[in-house]
Amino acid sequence: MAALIRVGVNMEKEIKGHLFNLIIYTAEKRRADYFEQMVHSLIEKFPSRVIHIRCDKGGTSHVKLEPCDHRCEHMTISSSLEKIDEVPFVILPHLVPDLPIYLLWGDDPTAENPILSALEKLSTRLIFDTESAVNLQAFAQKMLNKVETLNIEFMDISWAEIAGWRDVISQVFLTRNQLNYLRQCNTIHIKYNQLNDDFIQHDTVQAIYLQGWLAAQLEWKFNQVKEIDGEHHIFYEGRKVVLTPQKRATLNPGLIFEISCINDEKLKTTLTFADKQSKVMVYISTPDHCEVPYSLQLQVMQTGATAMKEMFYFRPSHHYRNMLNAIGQIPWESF
Amino acid sequence: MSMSYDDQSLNPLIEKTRQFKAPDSCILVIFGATGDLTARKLVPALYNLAHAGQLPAHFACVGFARRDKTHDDFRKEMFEAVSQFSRTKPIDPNLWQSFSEQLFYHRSEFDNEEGYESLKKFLEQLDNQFGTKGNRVYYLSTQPSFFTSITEKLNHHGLIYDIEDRKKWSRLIIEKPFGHDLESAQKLQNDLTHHMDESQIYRIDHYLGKETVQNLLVFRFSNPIFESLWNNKHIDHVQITVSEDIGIGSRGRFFEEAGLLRDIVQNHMMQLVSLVAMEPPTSLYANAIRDEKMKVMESIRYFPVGDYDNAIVRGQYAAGIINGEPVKGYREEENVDPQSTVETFAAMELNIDNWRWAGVPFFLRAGKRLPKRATEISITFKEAPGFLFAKQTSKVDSNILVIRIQPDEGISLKMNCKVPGLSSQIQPVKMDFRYSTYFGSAPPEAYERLICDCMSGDSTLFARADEVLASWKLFTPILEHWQNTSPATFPNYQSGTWGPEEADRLIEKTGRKWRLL
Repeated sequence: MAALIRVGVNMEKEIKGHLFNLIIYTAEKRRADYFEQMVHSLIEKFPSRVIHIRCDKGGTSHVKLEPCDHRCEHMTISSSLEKIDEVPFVILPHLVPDLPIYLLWGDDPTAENPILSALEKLSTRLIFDTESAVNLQAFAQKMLNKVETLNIEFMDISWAEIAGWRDVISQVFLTRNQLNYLRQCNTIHIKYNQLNDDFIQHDTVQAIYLQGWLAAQLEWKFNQVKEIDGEHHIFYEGRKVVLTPQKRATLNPGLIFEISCINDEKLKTTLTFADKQSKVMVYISTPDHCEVPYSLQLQVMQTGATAMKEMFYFRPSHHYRNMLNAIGQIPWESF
Repeated sequence: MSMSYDDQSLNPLIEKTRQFKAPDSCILVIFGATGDLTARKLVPALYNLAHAGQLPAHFACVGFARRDKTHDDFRKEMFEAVSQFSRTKPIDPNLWQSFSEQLFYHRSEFDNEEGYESLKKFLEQLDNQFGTKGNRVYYLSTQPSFFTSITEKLNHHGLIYDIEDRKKWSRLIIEKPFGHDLESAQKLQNDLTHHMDESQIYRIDHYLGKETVQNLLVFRFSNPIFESLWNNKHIDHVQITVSEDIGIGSRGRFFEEAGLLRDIVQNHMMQLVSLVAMEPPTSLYANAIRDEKMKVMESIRYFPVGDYDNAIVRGQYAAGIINGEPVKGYREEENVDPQSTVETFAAMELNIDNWRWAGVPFFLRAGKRLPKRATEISITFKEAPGFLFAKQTSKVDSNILVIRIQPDEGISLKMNCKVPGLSSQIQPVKMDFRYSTYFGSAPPEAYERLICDCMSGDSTLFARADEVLASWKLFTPILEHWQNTSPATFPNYQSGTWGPEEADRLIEKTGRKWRLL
């Protein structure tokens, strides 16, 4: 291992500026590739030290360190499960001192992992990945526990991914009257992109999070959840939320592209994502009247700068805790 | 009318930690919409705000000017302008399509009553079309001589609302210069506040919208290591330089009226002085910050009566060489009097008589046709006692903290270091932080930030009347003195040099030197 550390240290010959350290842990290849893609756009813009730990759960006993680019800003440590507890020792000399350390945890936090606690101690902020969760209810409960007990900052990728929608919704329902209307709506319909790809399997998560946020902030009481023809029907006291998957080839998997709500007087508000313009069109209508539509910008977490802001700078407020609490009460069969 | 949450924390969907500016629905009316500023800065800034999703959902912009043109003509011109001057390129055709549908043109003379009456009707029509709720921002991008009459007409036609009106608001953005001396600034202030409240007036100083200037507060008050040294015990002197390599270009007529002291020093540089010298504010609210800046302005010692020529140096550029190219002298520029005595350079020492800064001179210099474009603040710390290193060097350099406002925005710290090897030579070295290296993409233009702030009702980055008047009070005696006494030696510096020799003498008599930028 000493030789391994020396090899890594000797690779660093240039003096460079850095904004932060980013440690990524992945146990599945599909998530490893997804994060590679996400991080690539990030480090293209922002100089940073990225250390990617890939755990090869079925592999033979090994720990291997290799630089991924010629400037050694990005390095990969691959390790078998058997040797995974050696990884923190390999990482330590490669961290750039005095800068934030973001730990992107691409594994189910409900599963025991010997190095999570070791890396947690080093980290400024822990970023969790719902996509790696096996059971969403257990994930939410575990996260809630972590949020309440962890002394470090944290973020949840899915929460960051719906930040744009949360901003849009809070602008659309800004005034007292608008919010009262939303409280009175008896049906809320959320459509999301059902496009499982090599990276994403749980494409309902963003929609679940968004309805969970609304339910928590508007204090809806949960009754039951049903899956009907591939849709999730979530029944709260006095209202129903329907999550409908639809295929939209041009959008990222799981992305929400339409939200509509309607009250007893048939006053309907529809928010539709116009992806080419990164805008949400807002339509307000009754059966015999409609208002002039208007648009709002939707921040989609695709570019390096947006991803960095959402994952590294913004802190989840008590809204996140409330949302976890709301979805943690629901026995999700699939997500 | 929907009731807004006055306190947004009452809306359970609002997350405090997301801290977005929320520009309110409104119509922006630009007076002087056919001018350079609209094409180069204002409409590109609006386009970039739209690009970043920072324009209000309900928004329209109306250009108000004297030339005859249609909405479509105006949109076409603005498309050309945005294509040329926007910081985000290429122009997104979809975004431009929706943005340009919010652009309109209204033709009228600035003093024509009917023009304002028809403007009022047109704006009400746009309110219905765009849901802009009657809210208005009026941007006066005209000659200063129109400021009062436009405001008076706006008020007369009911386009300026009472500040007690809780349902809609009106705000006025006013470009510099705010007066040309103390008396005219006071008169302008009286005239404006006859028609509207001070809280509705947003005096724009685009320096305050620059990222690096905003960072001054963050840098000072979030880094205790520097703030604890930020006083006369540790700081020897401060230098602020605003240097431009360009001449006055096509602005000869304007510059003959204004001169450099009015154009740069009285506004931009004094804002920098007050941000560098202010005490920590009690909060980041607009008036808390502006109160502290104002205290600095009130503490600046007046120039000694009868000794103005020694206290403040003026200069005018002669022909010379910039970037290897010969350039004209000021008196040869277009629309400039061949015998002009207008200054294109100024240098001075300011003293701030308060507990923190007593004995620390602030040296200011600004000029046209200097060797390079650079705006920076440098803080020179007191020297270390030299006896320890007397053998190695005759003098140990002072630490210098440099805050580069533009270009190459960043911060550097000069310190001393041992040269590696068996000898013990000392060499000054620099730690250098560059915005572009760390944060990559170009920061928003100052006008984007300032327009967005005005639409959000945040006046922090706008100059308050008392600040502007205090600055005029300091410089008006100088301006009067200069007007009454012709400089003997104009032009007194060659283009491409760092100004007249008198400027060097001004600082050298205190045992210091201008930094070589």
